Amino acid sequence: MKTKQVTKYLFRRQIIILGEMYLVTFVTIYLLPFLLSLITGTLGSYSFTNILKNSPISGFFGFFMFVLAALSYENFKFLIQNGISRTTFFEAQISVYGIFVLIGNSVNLLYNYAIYVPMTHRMSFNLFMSGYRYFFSNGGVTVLMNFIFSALILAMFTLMGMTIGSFLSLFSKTMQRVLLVAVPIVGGVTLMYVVGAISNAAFRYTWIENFTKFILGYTSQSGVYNPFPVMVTMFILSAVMLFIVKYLFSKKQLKRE
Amino acid sequence: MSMLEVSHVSKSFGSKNVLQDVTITFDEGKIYGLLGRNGAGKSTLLNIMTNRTFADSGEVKIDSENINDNDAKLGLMFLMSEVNLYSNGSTLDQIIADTEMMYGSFDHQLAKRLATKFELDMATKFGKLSTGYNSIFKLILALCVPVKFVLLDEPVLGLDANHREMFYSELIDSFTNNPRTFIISTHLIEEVANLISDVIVLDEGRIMLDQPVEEVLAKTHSVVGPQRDVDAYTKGLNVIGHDDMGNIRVNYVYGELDDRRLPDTVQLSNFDLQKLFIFLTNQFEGSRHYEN
Repeated sequence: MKTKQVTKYLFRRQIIILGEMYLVTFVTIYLLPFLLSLITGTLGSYSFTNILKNSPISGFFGFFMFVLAALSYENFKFLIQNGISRTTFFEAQISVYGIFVLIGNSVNLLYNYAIYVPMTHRMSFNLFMSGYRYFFSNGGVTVLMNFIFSALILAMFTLMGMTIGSFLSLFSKTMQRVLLVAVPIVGGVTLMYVVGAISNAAFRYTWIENFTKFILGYTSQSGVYNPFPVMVTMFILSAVMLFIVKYLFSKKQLKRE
Repeated sequence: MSMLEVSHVSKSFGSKNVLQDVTITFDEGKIYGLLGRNGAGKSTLLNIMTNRTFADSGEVKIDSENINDNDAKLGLMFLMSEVNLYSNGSTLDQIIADTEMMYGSFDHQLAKRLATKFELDMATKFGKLSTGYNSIFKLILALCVPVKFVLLDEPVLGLDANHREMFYSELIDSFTNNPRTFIISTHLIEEVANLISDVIVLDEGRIMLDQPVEEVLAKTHSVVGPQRDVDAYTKGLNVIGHDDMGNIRVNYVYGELDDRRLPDTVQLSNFDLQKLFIFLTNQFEGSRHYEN
């Protein structure tokens, strides 16, 4: 097994792509408005704090991981050229994304606690802090649970990207285009129908609502939600996606281009 | 001595059967010529042998161990093909460093010498290479990686005559210094005829011929003379093709000649691999009566 070499190779290549993604985003969000304000003579209305308040910096990382994870075919091409098996590729890729999630999540939380909160005086900087922070009375436990909760979300996004990317990589470019157009439309319509059906009065007080409330961690106390059901759900979903990704990786092959 | 075995491999794309029950064995320390017309299944076979694609049935083994999803065995092979599997944005130096990381070592000295000889700038990005230099770079990689089986699919694609000569000469040098197995799939039969030790002819997904070149050529006979005498002499033999020049006829026979008497008006000689290939893979009268 050449997992160590492949992990090193993937880490080096993908950390560069991740860095490029951050660079483009920061230039677009911070530098471009500044330059436009400078050119149009409205520099007085430019506020760095306002941009900071309104831009989901920690959310970017999840999006980047999703995109990065979806692009697996290029690496497969290089690795199969160099006699690397699909299993080794899978194991190395999971290791690299695991490291990225740990680093990215730590940086996100550090940024939020050390910069965002003091600057904006807002505590609801992510999903956990918005919905679940009152469940714990101890500050240290809250930070720890926030870390685990956020890591699980990032892992979900990453595995979702891997699942979609690996699935698409099994098809020809034409079929990929068809799927990329058709799936969002069909998915969107289905989602609208499901949401409409669930919000319909007829479905209220049924098992679906109760189940949803259970997953989201509703408690008898107003404003206090239990994060554990949703964390366990995310963990199970991640495990299922991991299993699917492993299967899809084993089916990867060079396409006739 | 390592052995690469392809056993009962079949593959189809849609309704087209590209490979049908292919069984071949490649021994270490030989240069094989894998010949076949366009669409005969050569590239598909090489892709299956290196686990780039999957066979519908059958298996590929190295030293009796299946190569499927097997790093140790896959790392013993390197397939150079016209398909570009390297990132266009990477420099040639970077690709070499990454390749070395995957294979564990790399002959930098040879790579440097070949790059100088072919005037290839290793700081160039892979995507900026012309078709010819793209092939040259991949050939350099193929000659410098520490593998037992080097598979070359149309290796001289886009190379001019000078570069082709240089490559063949380097290939022989490399083989002499470090004997290993080369499997060369090509259309340019004349160019590799003096290079290969064994020939494999693939036609419509089936192995038509798999023998040492020397044995194959010993079975080729061109029978030249007046048409009536030539036809009479070759009656009952495996005539795979013929040429007519006025009253003179050449019948091409593949196989052993029996002890029949040769008429004074008829002359016998051998013919080359390219001619044999053309006759075997054409739908000539008698072309299917080949020997395996």
